[in-house]
Amino acid sequence: MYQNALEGVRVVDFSWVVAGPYCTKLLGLMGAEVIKIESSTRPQYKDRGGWFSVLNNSKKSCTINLSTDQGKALVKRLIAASDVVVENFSTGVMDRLGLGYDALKAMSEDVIYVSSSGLGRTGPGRDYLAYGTLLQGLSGWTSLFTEPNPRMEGMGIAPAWTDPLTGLWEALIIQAALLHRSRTGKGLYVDLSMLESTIAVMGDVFLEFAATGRLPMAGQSSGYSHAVPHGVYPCKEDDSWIAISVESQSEWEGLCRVLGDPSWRHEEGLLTLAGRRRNRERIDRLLAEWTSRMPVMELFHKLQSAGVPAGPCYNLKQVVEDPHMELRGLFRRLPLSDEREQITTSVPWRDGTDWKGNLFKAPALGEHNEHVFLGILGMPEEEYESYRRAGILE
Amino acid sequence: MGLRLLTGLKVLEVGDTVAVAFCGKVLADLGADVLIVEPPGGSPLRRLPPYYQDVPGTGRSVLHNWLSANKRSITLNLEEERGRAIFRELVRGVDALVRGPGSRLDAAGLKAVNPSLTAATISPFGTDGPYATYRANDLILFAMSGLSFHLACPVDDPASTPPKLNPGYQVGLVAGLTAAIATLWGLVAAKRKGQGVTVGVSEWEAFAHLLFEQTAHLSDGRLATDRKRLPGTGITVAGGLVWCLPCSDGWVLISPRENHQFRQWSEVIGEQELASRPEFSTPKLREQNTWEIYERSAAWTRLHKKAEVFQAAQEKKVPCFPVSLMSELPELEQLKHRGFWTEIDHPVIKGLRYPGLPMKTGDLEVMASRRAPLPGQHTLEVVKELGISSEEIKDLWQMGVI
Repeated sequence: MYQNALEGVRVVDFSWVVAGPYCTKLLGLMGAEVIKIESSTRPQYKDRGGWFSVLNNSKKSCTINLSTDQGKALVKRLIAASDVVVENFSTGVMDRLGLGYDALKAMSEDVIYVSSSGLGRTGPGRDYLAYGTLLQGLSGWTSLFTEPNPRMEGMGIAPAWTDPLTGLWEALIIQAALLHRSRTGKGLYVDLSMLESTIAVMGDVFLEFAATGRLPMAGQSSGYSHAVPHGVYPCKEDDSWIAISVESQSEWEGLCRVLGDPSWRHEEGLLTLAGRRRNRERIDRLLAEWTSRMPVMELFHKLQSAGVPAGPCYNLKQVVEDPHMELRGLFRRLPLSDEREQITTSVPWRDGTDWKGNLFKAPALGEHNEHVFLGILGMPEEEYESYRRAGILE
Repeated sequence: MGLRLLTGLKVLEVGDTVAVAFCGKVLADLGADVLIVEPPGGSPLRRLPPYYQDVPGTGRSVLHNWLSANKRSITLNLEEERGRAIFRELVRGVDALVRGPGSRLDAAGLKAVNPSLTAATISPFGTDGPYATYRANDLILFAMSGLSFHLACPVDDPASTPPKLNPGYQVGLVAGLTAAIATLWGLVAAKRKGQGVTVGVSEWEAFAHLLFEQTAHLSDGRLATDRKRLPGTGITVAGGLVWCLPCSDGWVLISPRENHQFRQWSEVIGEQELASRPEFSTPKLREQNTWEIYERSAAWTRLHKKAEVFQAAQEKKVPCFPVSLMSELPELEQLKHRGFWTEIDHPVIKGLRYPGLPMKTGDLEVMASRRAPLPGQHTLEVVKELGISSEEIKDLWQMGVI
């Protein structure tokens, strides 16, 4: 299947928690053979439900005890038979295991090695302990939504933001490195910073401050200063809201038609965009009065039918259940081993066919030990058994 | 800053959305030759605020200079048949086309011109399905993806606390990054297939894809569909409890989520007794009894500057960082040390730093960033590359085709 574009690419995946696994899932969806290196003695690998099962679709799992010399030698053999290494341990861990880039490059000249960390592997901050959520604070992301407050209401703490973004950058650079390798035969070492991954997609808000001296805040960026109304408005159902953003005269006229041509629209102050900008708060008030009597979905389709950009403030359940989203097939249901079903994401693009990524359920711990050791490494069964008995493969 | 990973890759960019421009930017920063096809007079993106010194004018869009750095530009009148003919010649010579919604380029026609083309389209809702013609900007897609709702969750009073608005072009930027991944996928898929592929990216889907934790909670029944806060509980993200603590000059975020980290943190604040109390003995219990820990921690942090709290915590191996304001980012030592910021030489926009690529690599030549091109800056060189004669070029110029 040509869509499994990374078929034949083998990824040795030491990454854990969120960012690395988010990346390697994307690689797996594109057809790469992703082999998670796990350990039954590390407790964080035991809980395989919740987001673990969403982030680790389309991968294989093997268990190797990396605290033993034989375990390290085995994983090196696997890397020698692979193309890409992904890791996000604390700075220095891979070097101490003898699995740093230089050691692996000496063995496998063209290895692509992506090392992601909170603040990068160089510089005064290289050893800081970091979680993606905390870096959302350091990057300035949390301050874009509201003032910091003890209860963290609306602060941009959740949903996780830095972690998945880091995963996207990692997937991108690995694809670019694979193309580069196929052209030049050369491998690559990448030192990827989660902090930088976050700020690299904040150019708009960062430059807003740098150019104007104004601190950008949610909903007030200058890119939308011409849009009136522009905001979220309450609807009839409990805690239901609709986002409406009117940027052009024809959209304004569409909105007025849906509103039933209210008398105030003909007031002189509201006829022009400049006037509407001056009366932004009044328009917001009048609009909210009206939207609060309307069911949110009915309003959404009415406004869109009149050419007005509008959309409901969905929670993720509503996103998944939306008929358009359902038809597009981003969210998929996968059977789990215990007869339950899981909702997970597939590849976030389409190619005009039914292909939605090489999606399969997350592996059980060590589920692919035989495949990896007997198959890929071609290990004789007696040797495999002796490693098992010696606790090397656990 | 750019990396020469995609040297030799030729990409055409057509469209005036942030998503299209950021997709092209990412590819250009990685070394691809990205040619923007603009209408005569230039793309509307050139008018996007913010403006240098907050004053609008030609060449003053700081955002455009960031989005279009390292690219080339040709202006082409696609309303004219001869303009379209040149466009077809351009399509013939590239590996990939990245375009926005509504560009009147018919897929079959493109395929006939260049059978191995990877053609990526980025649009709000994708090109099929009931919302294919619905209109949306960043605000609408931010709301529909679930981010508005879940960012403002939980709160004490949902009725008086609306869902959050987008601060800028987050959806467009994330969709652009996703589209760059999808485009590189398309290039390899096309090679395997032996003919071109189409790639459709819906901005809405690209953004909703980020909410992995909420997706997981759908299956385990833990998804918050009610924004009302349960009394007493704190916020956990991806399994870890987080506190936002006041300092004498700002705030820190801290997450002593593991037992040993919590023990260390109680030492930092001189409250060792906390770690020995049974009601704080596990992460789950600390989540349920979060506010006493908060108060005892805040009593100490209020007396210190955020930099001091951050240093004291990190010295004890407790994950903690200051909450930055946008104004503080250029001062972060770590980013300076790693050369994260890029300078772009520009005749009007002076002295600004721009976010660069989020990675370092020792193995590759790093290229300096070129300023965003003037509209049509590369028109002549590009049409010459197509082998069009000087006479014909003059003619095309005079007729306003190029």
